[in-house]
Amino acid sequence: MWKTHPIWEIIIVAYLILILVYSLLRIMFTNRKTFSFVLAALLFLGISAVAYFLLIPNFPESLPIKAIQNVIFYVNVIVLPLSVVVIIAPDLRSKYDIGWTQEKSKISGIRVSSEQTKEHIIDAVMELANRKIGALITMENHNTLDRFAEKAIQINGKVTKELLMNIFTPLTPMHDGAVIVRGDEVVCAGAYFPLSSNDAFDKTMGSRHRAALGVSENSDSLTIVVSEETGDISIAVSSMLIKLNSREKLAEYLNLYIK
Amino acid sequence: MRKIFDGIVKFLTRPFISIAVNSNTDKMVKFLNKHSYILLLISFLITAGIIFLIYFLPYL
Repeated sequence: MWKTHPIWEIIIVAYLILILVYSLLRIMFTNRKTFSFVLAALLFLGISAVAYFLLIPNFPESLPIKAIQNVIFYVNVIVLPLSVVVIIAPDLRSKYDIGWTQEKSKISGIRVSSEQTKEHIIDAVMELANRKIGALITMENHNTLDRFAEKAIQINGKVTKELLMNIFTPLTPMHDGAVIVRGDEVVCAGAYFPLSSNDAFDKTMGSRHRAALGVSENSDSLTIVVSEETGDISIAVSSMLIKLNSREKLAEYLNLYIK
Repeated sequence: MRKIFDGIVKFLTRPFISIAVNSNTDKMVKFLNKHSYILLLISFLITAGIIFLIYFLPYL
C-alpha cells in the first residue's frame, strides 16, 4: 500500500478533507436556516447516492437507466451545491464579513478611549437627552466598523461635547445616522447600520434603536441611543438593549465595555 | 528555526481561524462558538473515516 500511496500524499489529502469538512460544519452551524438547508442537502445527496448505486442498476432493461443516472448526477453535482449557496448566501456573507474584519482588527490593535473622552460623550448624551434630540453614538471595541465608516462622512476629529452636539442638531446634513467613535477620535458621522431582525424586539421602538441593536449583533461595539420622542437613553451591547436614565449608570457601562 | 516553525503552524491553521467567528443570534451557534473544539473533533472523526475508506479499506 505504501508503494502506491506515499505517506505525504495521505497527509495532504487528510488536511484538505479536514478543511473541507470543518468549513462545511461551520457553514452548517451559522444559524438555524443554514443548518436546515445543509442538512436537507446532505440527506438529498445520501438518498440520491443510494438510488444511483443500488436501486437504478436493478431497474428493468426497458427503462432508460443511463439517462436517469445522468439526471441524478447533474442535479447533485451542479444544481444542489449552487442552490444551497444561493439560498444561504446572505448568512454566509455576513459571517465571512465579520470573520475577516475580526482578523484585520486583531492586527491593527485596540485604540483606548481616555477618561476625558468618556466624560465628553456622557455630557453630550445627557444634554441631547434633556433637549430630546435623537442621537446614535457607536463606540468601537475589538471589531472594526470600517465597512460602515467608509460609506459615511469622514471626520477624524477629537471627541468633544460640542462636536457631538453639533453633529446631532436637527435639520443639519449629518444629524441622521450614527457617529462612530474609535479611541479618542470621532471617525465619521452619518453612518448607517443594518437593522436588527430580532423578532423579540419591542415593536414600539423606532429604526434608530433597531440599527443600534443590529450593529451590536454584528460586532462587540457599544452603542448609545437617545430617543427623539421621549429623550430616553439606551445602550445596545452584545445583542441586548438596556434602558438607563442616570449619568452614573451610563458611566458604569462605558467603563465596563469600553477599554 | 522557531520563527519558521511558527510561520508554518500559522499558515496551516489559518483556514480554521478565519472561519471561527462569533454570532450572538442563536443559542446553538453561541454554544458551538464557545466550544468550537466539538466541531473540530467531529471533523477529525469524519476525515479519519474518509481516509480509511479511500486508502486502507481496499487493502484489508
